Amino acid sequence: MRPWLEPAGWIAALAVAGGLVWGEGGRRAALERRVAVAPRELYRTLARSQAGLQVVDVREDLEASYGDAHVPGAIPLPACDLARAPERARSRLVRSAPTVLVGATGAEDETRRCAALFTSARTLAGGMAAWSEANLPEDSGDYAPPSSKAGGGCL
Amino acid sequence: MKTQLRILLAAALVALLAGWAGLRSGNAALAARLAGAPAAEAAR
Repeated sequence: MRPWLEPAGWIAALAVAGGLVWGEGGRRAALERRVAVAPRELYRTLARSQAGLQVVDVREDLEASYGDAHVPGAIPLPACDLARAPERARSRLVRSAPTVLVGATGAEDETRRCAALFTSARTLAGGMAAWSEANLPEDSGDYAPPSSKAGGGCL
Repeated sequence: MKTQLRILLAAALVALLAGWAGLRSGNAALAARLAGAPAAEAAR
């Protein structure tokens, strides 16, 4: 047997196994992005730390829905349309930041189009309705950018 | 090739395959959960 054959065989076997793990890992990451965030889970995350996570409110009617009640610190982006977002909110949106999209009911078709705008976006399960139902803190009125990090806000 | 090196390589291969199998079954469970229970997510 040629001396290089055995090391080459091991390398090939390890490369194939590594490739399988890599592929499944990628699939896991893609699946995890589709898992909706429960309202309490989002609340805990926001309460623990504001760093990095942005909450984007994509409900259609800015005045009636966002103005009435929204997740504290949420950035309004009505119907995922940048042109309809308030000027101050537009500049706060960070495409690469981990994002939680808040719709009215959490239906997938509500947020699917928006998810493409962000590198990593998940949906709030049950939308704003579930957030309110869970009696979690809400803000009302127009968007006011936080003084510190992007997407932040105080609970 | 030394036997010890063979054992080491074989262990690495087994670990990778076990990791792959674990990820695969986890992914299947997650995919099933995503396909079947959006309402349960909301209630969680």
